[in-house]
Amino acid sequence: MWWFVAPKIVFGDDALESLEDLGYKRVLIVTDEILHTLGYVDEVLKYLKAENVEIFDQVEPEPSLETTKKAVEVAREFQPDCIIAIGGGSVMDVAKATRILYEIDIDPEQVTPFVNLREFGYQKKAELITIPTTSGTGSETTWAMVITDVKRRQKLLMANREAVPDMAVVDARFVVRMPPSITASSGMDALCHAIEAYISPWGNEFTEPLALKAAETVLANIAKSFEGEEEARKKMHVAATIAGLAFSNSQVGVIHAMGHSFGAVFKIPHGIAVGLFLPYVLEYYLNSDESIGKVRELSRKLGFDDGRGLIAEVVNLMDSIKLPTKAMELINEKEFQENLDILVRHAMEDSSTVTSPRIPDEAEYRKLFECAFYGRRVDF
Amino acid sequence: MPKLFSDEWIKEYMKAINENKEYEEAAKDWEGDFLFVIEPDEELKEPLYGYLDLYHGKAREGYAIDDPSKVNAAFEFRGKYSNWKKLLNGEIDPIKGLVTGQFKLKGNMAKVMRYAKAAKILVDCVKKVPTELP
Repeated sequence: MWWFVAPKIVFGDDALESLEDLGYKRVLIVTDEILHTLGYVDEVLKYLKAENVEIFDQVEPEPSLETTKKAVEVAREFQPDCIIAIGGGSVMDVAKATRILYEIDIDPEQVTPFVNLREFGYQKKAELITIPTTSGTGSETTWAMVITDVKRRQKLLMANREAVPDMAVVDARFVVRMPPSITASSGMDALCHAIEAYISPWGNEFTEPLALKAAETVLANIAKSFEGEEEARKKMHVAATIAGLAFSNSQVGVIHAMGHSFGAVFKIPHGIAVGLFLPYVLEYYLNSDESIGKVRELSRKLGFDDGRGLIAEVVNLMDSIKLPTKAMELINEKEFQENLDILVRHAMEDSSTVTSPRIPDEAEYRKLFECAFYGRRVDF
Repeated sequence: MPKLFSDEWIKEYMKAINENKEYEEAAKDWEGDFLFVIEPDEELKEPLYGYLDLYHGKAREGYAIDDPSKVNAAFEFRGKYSNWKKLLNGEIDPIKGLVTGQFKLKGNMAKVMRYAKAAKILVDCVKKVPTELP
């Protein structure tokens, strides 16, 4: 038994116009200050017909538990019947967590896939609409919420089916002017989602075609999107959502476990962190009979002779869109060595580890981090 | 062959766990005991209960029990007999089984999420125990 869970998705030019007919009375908009200043909220408000609107614009990149709690306080005071997230993954994750925590008192860490939130009194008082303004996170479709516990320097991976948004509005008007650096990092996040979704042992008949389509589209368009080509950006925007649907229903693996750990310890943006580990983890998967099959299958479907061809293409792409291909481009050796134990421990404790086609032990995780730091081949 | 959830079966299961180096590493900081519950269905008339104390990568105590109120375990893992059979045969992934509600878990969920690998190995260890089903 398994499910495929997804929001209603409105996509394409003018998708924002779909907000005109919704009829909510009290709408809480969750966003960040920059997007608010850039007029993204006003763009949404042009279409939204709500009697009362409250705006929480304090979400920061890699959002903290403290910020989430502030958003929850605002929601409890305002009592929305709809929450609209306008932003990237950070904003959408905070909005998803806010919708749940606004209704029930529960330790955020206890919001796991194993919990039936209805037993805690959750009744979905507010609908949730996500409007992504980057093309990568896929958070507009997923059940996951990545919130950083700053004190523990660890990412809390909250996830629950109740967190899946009711509607995602995928309108590319917000990404055609996105800075190239964000286009690159968020696009690499989408590629990691697509690849990990395809090779996940939890992958299934519903997710595989989506993952493949997303991977094909990202590989064909990420460099053009980085250069600012409008049509490529539109394709990347839809591909990121498709990748989100795929991984949300099949899960991610070691690439994300390492990326979460590295990103939290060194405050590296998520897309850069996961992209960094993609080639190394693919090589690790190719070195074992238990995981080589799906990587090879995906590589061939993408037009490469074998997995090594896919890895070479990924590295070339990363070079062309100016993303680091080894961790020493981001941090120095002393910082790395001082934090290696904690990097390994957090990756091992990451729930993505267990949904990987090959699960590293502590020694292998250590070696994988070292390979990614120094840019070494993975030979184990 | 020992019967599932008999004292003898649980001792064999503990032996399989304690010989597993991969489990020892994955659960080296784990502290928490479990009450396992097999709920009756068409093929099982009465519930079965087992207790297992897992500590720092080892199973340090375990036995069959007839009255679950006699133990106050930190975690409770329960499911229907038909689903337990699928779990023991490797047809259900333990984590997936929890997500779909085929199994229910009480206790600190976040802690279990962090030790998901150890949970998978625990199920793998079951497959090494010769088992007579009820």
